[in-house]
Amino acid sequence: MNDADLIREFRNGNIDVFSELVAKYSRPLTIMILRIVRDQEEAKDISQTVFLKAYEGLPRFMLASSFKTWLYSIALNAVKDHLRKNRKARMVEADPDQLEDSSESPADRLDAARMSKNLREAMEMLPEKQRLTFQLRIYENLDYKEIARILGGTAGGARGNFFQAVKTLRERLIGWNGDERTGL
Amino acid sequence: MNPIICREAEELIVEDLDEGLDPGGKNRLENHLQTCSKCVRMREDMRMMVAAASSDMPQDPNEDFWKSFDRGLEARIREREPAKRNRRLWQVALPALAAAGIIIAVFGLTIDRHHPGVGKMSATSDIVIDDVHQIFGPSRDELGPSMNSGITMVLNGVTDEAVVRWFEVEDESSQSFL
Repeated sequence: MNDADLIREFRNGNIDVFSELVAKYSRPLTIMILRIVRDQEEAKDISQTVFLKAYEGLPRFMLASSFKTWLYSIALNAVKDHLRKNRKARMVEADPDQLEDSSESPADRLDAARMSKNLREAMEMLPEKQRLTFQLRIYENLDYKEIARILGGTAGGARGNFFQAVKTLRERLIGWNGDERTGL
Repeated sequence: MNPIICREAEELIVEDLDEGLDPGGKNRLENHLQTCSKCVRMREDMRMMVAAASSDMPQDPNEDFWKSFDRGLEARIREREPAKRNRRLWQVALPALAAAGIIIAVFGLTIDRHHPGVGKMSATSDIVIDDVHQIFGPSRDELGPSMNSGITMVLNGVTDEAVVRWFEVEDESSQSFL
């Protein structure tokens, strides 16, 4: 059964089919949230809240968009709330041991770790929409139409936000003590 | 072909890194880059930055995480379910109760209009009893136990036609079951 069939089943009272939607979307959705909030427990809590909202909102969901888009919109709103509450959240330290490419020399790995850390800090300073657009484009490989549907606005606007995010990130990274700090 | 300026080159660089450029755009960008070292550097920076962002993924959670996720979600849904069920019950019950109330009110008013005595029984009962006395004589209570040979039934607030007339109660002993 596709999503629309499952939703119709759910509306007809077969609430057990919700577990099929959870099975299909819980991992990609939670990982998407994890890539933004960078904390497993927080990602788990946000993702569960999203599915709970979907469970309660499904009877009113009119199938105007795909279930995935609707679910991701709920998720991004929950992530935005989370980011606002944690605006002064700790900067996650990049752990060189977590970097997977063991072919790199220790110096390269440290550079990469420093680069990642600076990049995350710079991303956290971006305006919310630019940051989320950048992350959805880079991490989730969503196209601009999809990003616009999820975050609101137009595909052109999303493209503009991505461009602005890349530009600002580069400027910020270069601005921070020159190349020594940024790794650029 | 007009040479492009650095600002336009910046847009083309991002577009190239993101979705790729069409051959015309690619050609224009490359021509510009041959003459502008600043934009060459910018392209390298952006390329490195996008690559770093793409590879900077948190580790995927392990299976325990997903088991805990499923258990937690199920518990949270169950926790909400009774409250939701109660809400649903009230959503059904409230209109039903309201409808019942309206029916009772309408039914009561209709009876009141057709039978003014209803609801004013204490005021009208004496009149009804007087009328009954005039027509059928005193009731058995007024006559005393010795006179109890029948039953009077008065339907409060209704007209004379509805008064059940005296009728003899057959003596059960006189009935024959043969």
